[in-house]
Amino acid sequence: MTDNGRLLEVRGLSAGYGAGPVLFGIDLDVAAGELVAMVGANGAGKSTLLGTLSGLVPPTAGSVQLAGRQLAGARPEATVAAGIAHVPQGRRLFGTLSVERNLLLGAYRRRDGQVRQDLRQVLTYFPALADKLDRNAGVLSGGEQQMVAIGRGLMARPRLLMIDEPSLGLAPNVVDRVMEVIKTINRDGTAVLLVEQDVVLALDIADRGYVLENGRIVLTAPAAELRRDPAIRKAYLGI
Amino acid sequence: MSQLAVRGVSKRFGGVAALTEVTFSVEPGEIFGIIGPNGAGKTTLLNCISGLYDTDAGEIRWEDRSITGLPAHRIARLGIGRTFQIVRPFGSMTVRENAATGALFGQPSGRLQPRQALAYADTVLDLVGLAAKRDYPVRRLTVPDRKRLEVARALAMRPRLLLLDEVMAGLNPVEIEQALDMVRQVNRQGVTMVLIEHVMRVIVGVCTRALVLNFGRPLIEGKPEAVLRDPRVIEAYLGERYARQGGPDASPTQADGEGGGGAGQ
Repeated sequence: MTDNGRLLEVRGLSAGYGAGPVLFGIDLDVAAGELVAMVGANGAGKSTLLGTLSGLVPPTAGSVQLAGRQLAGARPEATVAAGIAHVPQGRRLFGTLSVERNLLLGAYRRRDGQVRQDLRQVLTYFPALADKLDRNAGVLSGGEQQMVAIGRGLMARPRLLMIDEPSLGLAPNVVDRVMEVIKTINRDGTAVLLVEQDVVLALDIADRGYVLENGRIVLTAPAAELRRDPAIRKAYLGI
Repeated sequence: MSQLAVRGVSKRFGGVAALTEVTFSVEPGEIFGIIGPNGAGKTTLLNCISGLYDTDAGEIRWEDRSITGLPAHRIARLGIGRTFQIVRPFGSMTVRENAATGALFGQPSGRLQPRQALAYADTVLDLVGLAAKRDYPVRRLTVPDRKRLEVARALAMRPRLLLLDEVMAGLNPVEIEQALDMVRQVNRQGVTMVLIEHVMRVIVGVCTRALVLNFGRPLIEGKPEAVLRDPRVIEAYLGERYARQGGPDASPTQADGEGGGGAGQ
């Protein structure tokens, strides 16, 4: 932990793919225990930002510190070990492996003796998975697959859990359940960085939000303020 | 006469009854919504109509002839086009070339010449709002534009009925409004539509009627507003928050790829 209570501290982060830059000088903070929403249109760079933080996309400039440790340019296995877990868009489960194997894969780098205990904890968050541990992940419903994806992230015992569009493809009542659990996970002490197209839902459970436009952070404010902001309402809520 | 009539259609996968005696009909020019929980059989139903799956029982009639058991390409050439949840454009081709593939192979009259197919691709790209990006490689497209291209590829086959499988998935509320304009625009050209969505503002915004599937069976069918107020639908699908906040505009939710979406990659 840094002295100012920040868990994640990102400064001047830029990144892109072959064709050109996608992120331009991103400054971003997440405090320990905070739930932060990242809002922006499709193509703004939200998923690229998560990929850059987890080491999937190499940065071209800037710094990423987690609890004071420099992680910019570190490979994914190093960012996981440092405490960042990335739950990617579209779940990306191993469909022909069992639910239990998928969950345990989240802990593949851990050598502590508490993996089984954490598995039990994941099943208390997602009781629906308890009697499906032996099933192939590919045959689960979309909602259950999202639960496995989040559970797999938790099995790394992260300090920061990054979740990319958990509501994607889910029925409204299932979305509510998943969002409730994300809130609970956060209350239990894990900081969360949430990317979500359903801006209403995201700002509903978040402490604070960032607005990303064309690869730049244009605004950050407490979630309640963003919900009331007329420009945000018009640009992202369509009301 | 209904344009599309689904009569008592059932479909099993091994021991799982994916669809059980589903009956509904769609009139010319309608936008008919299909909603329901993940795994309720919505995509399976579209797969039966478009001929990707054989049905185990029941009949599907299209413009007063039976299309039950016909192969997918025949059904496509009879005027039923469709999109898929997981879009799979040809990555090395341009937007225009991708749209032209639909025109090239899916025409009722058989094949078009490549030049004619490209010309028709321009027409449909204009209709879905992608004309300015027609020379882009598809990898440069954002998610909303990829969905538009998916619709363009299906439209290039000149369907009279278009089956849309969650084309609003992954769009934010403003992008959804833009996509709704596209749907209305296509519908005004005389294309009947059947669409699956988890986004209730879509169902209320454009659908003439909606059918709710639950565990493969029809739960209720009717005007969207009435269907979404039904206690059984709130219980099985919408949830209490939706009921509490009272309406589709209170909580637009997102969607893409139920079931196998993203697994096994």
